[in-house]
Parts: sequence; C-alpha cells; structure tokens
Amino acid sequence: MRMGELVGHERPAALLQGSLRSGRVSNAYLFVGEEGIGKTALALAFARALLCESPEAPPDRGICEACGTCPACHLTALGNHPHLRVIAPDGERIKIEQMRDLRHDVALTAFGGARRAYIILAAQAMTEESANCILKTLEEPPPGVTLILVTESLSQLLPTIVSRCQLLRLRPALPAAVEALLVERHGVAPHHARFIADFSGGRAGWAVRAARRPAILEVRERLLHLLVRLPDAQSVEVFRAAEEVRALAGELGAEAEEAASPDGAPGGASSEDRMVRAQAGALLDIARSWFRDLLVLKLARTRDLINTDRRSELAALAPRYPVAGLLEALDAVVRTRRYLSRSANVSLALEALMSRLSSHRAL
Amino acid sequence: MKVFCKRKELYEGAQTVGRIVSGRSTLPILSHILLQTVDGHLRLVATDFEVGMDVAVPASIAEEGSVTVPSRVVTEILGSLPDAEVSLSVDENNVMELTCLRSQYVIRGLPSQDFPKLPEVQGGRSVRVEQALLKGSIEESIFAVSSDETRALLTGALTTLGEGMIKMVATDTHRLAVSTMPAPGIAISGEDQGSEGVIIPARALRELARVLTDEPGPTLEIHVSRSQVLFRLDGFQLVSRLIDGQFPNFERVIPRECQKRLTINTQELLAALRRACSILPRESPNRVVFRTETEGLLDITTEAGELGRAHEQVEVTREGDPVEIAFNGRYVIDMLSITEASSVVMELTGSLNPGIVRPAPTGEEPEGRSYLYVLMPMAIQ
Repeated sequence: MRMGELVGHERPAALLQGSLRSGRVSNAYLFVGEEGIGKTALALAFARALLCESPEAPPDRGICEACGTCPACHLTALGNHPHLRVIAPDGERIKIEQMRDLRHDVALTAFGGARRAYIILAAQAMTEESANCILKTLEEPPPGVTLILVTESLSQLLPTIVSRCQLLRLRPALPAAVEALLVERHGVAPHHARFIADFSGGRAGWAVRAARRPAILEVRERLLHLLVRLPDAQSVEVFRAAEEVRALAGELGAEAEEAASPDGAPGGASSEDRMVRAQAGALLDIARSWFRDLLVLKLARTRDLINTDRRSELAALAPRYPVAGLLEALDAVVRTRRYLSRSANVSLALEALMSRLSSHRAL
Repeated sequence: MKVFCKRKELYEGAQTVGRIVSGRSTLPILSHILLQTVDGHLRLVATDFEVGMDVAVPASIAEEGSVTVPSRVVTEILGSLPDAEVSLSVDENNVMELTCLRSQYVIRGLPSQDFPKLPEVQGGRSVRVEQALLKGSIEESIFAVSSDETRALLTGALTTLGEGMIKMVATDTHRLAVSTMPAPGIAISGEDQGSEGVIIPARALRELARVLTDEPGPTLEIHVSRSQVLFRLDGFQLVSRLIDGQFPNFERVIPRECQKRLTINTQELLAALRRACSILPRESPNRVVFRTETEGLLDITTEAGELGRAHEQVEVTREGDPVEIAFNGRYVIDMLSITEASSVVMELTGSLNPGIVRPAPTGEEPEGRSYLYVLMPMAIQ
C-alpha cells in the first residue's frame, strides 16, 4: 500500500511526503488514531517510501512514494528488509528486552542505504522501563534513523515520549469513501459495503478486515439479538448474557489468530482472557452503535442510523428507553471499553456492564 | 532437494550457525536456518540482521535445491540421532523429510526465497592473517568490552588491521585492554578502509573466536568495509554489521610513566585473588587492597563487612616506593586468567592514579607484540 492510497489520510500523507521530498524527515513520529483507522498501514507505507531506492516524485503531483519495484521495495513488501523493523507487544506489553534490542540495532552501522525505520506498534503497551529505555534514541538517533510509534491512546504514553515525537493524528474517513474502497478495491457487494462502511465509523482498516472476516458480522447478529432482549431480561439472564458476550469475543479472537497464522501454527501462549480483552473493543463498539442509534431515533428522528438494517427493531425499542437511560448506557459501554483496555477482570467488567444496561430498562 | 550427510558433521554445522539464531525475533523466518546445495556442499546459513554466518557441510547431492527449516528443532533432532548417514529431501511445498537409519522426521519449512540475504560486503580493505593471532587478540581484549547498551560504542572492540599488525582495544570505562599482535604474513589489499580501526560488536568476535583454531592452520581472510566486516575460512563465513561512531581516545588514559613496579608470579597472584574474592558478596564492588608493607611480599586484603575479611600474601619484586592501592579484584582476575605469561608487572603511580598490568617481558617477545591492561583505582576506605 502506498501512502496516497490510504483512505482518509490524505493530509497526513501529504505532510509525510512533503518531508520526504524536502529531506527533512523527523527523528520520531507518533501516529495516533482509533483501532483500524490505518495507523499501521500509514507507518508501513511511509517506512517503505523512506527505504525505497528510487522513490517516485513526479513534480506535478508532488507525490513521493515507494516505487514498489526496486530491491529495497521488494524486501520491505516481504517484511524482510534488515532496515525496517516492526516491534509489536510480546504478550500484553512491549518489554524492556525488546527496547534494548532496538537500541542495540540502532547503534550498528547500516548495510548500505542511508535510511533505517523502526515501527513500534501499540506503543502504549510499552512498560515504563521500556519507554525510558528509548528516550535517548528517540531524541537523537544516528543520522538516517526514523522511529515511528503507533498508538490508540495518547494518554497512556509517558509525556516524555510524546514530547520527543512529531504528532500526527489520524482522523476517520468519510463513510462514503470507505464504502467506495470496499466496493472498488475489495469487491464487496454494494449493500454489504454500505453497512460495513457506516458501521466502521470511517475506519478503513477496520472495514476491510470486517469485510474479510465474516465472523464479525455473525457475532454482531448474535450480540444485537442479546441487546434487543436485554430490557426484558431477568437477572440470571443478564449474567448469561455477559457470559455470551465473553464467548463471542473469544470466537472473534480465535478467528483473528487463525488469520494471523493460517497454517494453524501455534500462535504463542495467548491466554483466553487476553484474546477476549483484545476483541472486546470490537464488540463494545457494536453495543455503542446500538445505543447511539436508539438515542438518535429518540432525540433527532433523523435517518442517519448506523445499524440501518435494524431500523424497525430500533424504532420499536426506542420509546421504551428514557433519554437519561440511553446516555448512561452509552457511558457504561465507553467506560467498560476503557477498563478492558487496562487490566480490569474481563468477566466482572462484562457482568457489571450487562447489569447496568439491563437496569435502564424501559417503561 | 535431496542430499546425504554425515550426522555428526551436519549437527556441528547446524549447532554453529544456530548460535546466531535469535530466540525472540518478530520475523518467524529468522528463527530458521537456510539449507542450500552449493558446489558439492550443503550450506547452512543463519542471520539475525546483525550477524550472519554460513557453514559448508560436506554432502553428497542427489538433487540441488534449498529450504529454510526451524533451527532449534532440527538441531535438537540431529543432536540425538545415532551416528549414521542422514538424508534430507525437500518437496516443492518446502516440506523436509529427515531420515537416519530407522528414524524419520517430517519438518515443515519456509521457502528459501523469503530468507533475508545479507548485502555483500563491498569495497574496503582485505586482509589475510593467521587464525591464532586474531584469536589471541580477541581473547586478550573481549572481556573488557562493556555490556552497557547505553554506551553502544563500548559494546564492541576497536579493531585495527594495519601494516604488519593487528590491534584490538576494548574498554568499559573502568578498565581498558589493548592487544597488539605482530602479523608478519598480513596481506593487505584494497582501499585504506579500516586502517584507523572499526568497532566490531563483541558478539561477532565471540562467535568468531569459537571457530578459530590455536594451531597453525589456514589463514583467515578478513574484509572490512565502512559498514560491515566479513571473516572467511574454508567452508565458513561470518558477516557482521559494525558499531557506528568514533571510539573514545583511549591513548589518553594510558599512564605515560610509572614510579613503582611490582613483578609477581601470575598463577600465585591469580590463586590468591580468587581466594580473597571468594568471600565477597556477589553484588559487591569486589574491592581488593594491594599493599607492600613487608619487604618482598605483597599483601592482598578484602573486607566482607559482617562476614569477615581475607588476607593473602604473595612474593613480589618491587622497584620504587611502597605501594597502597585498591582495584576491582574481578577485573584483575579476568586479565590474569587469559595471559600466558608466567609473571606479570603492575606499574603504579599513586593510589588515585590508574595502574597498568602487563605480562612481564621475557626478552623473547616478537617485535611489535604488546599487551597492556589499564585499571582505574578504587577508593581504599
């Protein structure tokens, strides 16, 4: 993928291309944006352009991209370029040993080629020691070295890290652009594309993954089924619902792991809880869109729903909720998502959420 | 691919290159070794993007080809098989079948095209040198290399391959080892790169030293470029990136003159120091005080707080005033345990000045041979 091809990131891409063209590339960048918005794709595209031996720069368009054909581009596409290192959390955290390795590698000579790029994914997962370990590297890496940190959560990073990086915020694309992307480049059926695009909230990467992963849509069906019944649920059913949400997250996680290592190779010792935690965000986003639609119907009566395919159910349910209840439900969903991104107990957090959601049941 | 090898030779090859394979790489293929048929040999290659190594194993080749297989598993299997002929055959899906007598293993590999190729070493100078000389130089300096990654420059040894000599320098700021070997047979060609020295990571040097022989053997070929160094023997090759930057000006810390000179038997001093240090706790600064209170004897004392203290005496020949100085005992032991000299000389000035330990001259050293070890003193308390 080239920087210019990323949906919704035309401005950050132009900025990065400008710095490539002028040769004024920063030591360190920090890409911030929601899950699935395209941070990693942009970081990889930028790194490929940095390492490319003959970047294209037609003067009229002012584009500076990886050529895609030189030996360096071939290696970066395979992920085997010695000067493009991608560091991801080992388990839940980015450990100090990983950062020491990075620091060691930065200090070595380059194998020909002037530039080197290091991408740190989920930078918020750095432990405090890990973060402190690379402060000096971020501040003054050897010439030609660029570090790109990618994160969903700026507030979970040490201020000393943030202040050493050039900050680029990635914003959601227009749903129409995401829809076009799905139809034109990924061959998704138009009605399906429309819904995924709306539902993605403008997160192109998420939309593409959802289109390729039928499980997310299947899981959504089952989750919405739970939410529809929730207002009438008895307390036992509430706990059962929490159990089921957990199971759904587990299913998503299993599918994601399979996608990551298609040979069925052991994907490391990933505990069930970690898998659930990683996928709970996607589920809670579905719940959030549901309550958001209810609130929209109640207050605005506009047609701008996310869950367009469930319009009739939403319309039937909306009168049963008080506005304050919907606001509280939204708040509970958002808060649970945050708890789960930290280290709250998965089962307890989901049970608490489901019981809070059901207690705002209708009139 | 289909090849036949001797189990022992293949195992040793896999073990040698396997040491390069990193246990915690993000790229799955870096935990693999590449097997490739080349000129009647089976070539085994491993890399971690810092160091790359390849070893040629004698093989009879029935069908040319290549594959990458997981290093750890294959090495373990080879290590426990009986000594017999091993046959390796690889199908088009990179599945390797390893057979030895009545044992048969099927190992899923990855395509060899995906294995990262280290760029060729280009330009620079090329040198041929006796293996034993370089091995000696590495052993005399490598232990002084710093393990502190915050000062990356010091995690390697400054290596100079010059006209007729090899020089290796290592320091961790508390001590400095400088080893100079005459290399009469050294043959230099190519540009003048490396004459002012390059910093070779300690890891590469340690791996190299394991492979080099002390005996007179074939000469080692070294290529030094701006960014890499390549060591080549028949059937063996090691490439390493270098550490980028300017090595500190170490000449400045070498004391130019000395007022006191102690000559001591190496083995006696080593044994006394080992005993005296054995009572010190593991995390202690290993402070050892050296005094000459009695004529002809060197008093060595350590204090281990509540546990107690040690006092050792060794015979010494002293020139100059009496001595009182403290050093990190472990650092002295490091040097004494690798030197071949039967006695060593400590050259000292004041108790706050750095001291030098060097092999006592025997008058038989070849021209250009020198080894010195500089130690920073510790407070005596």
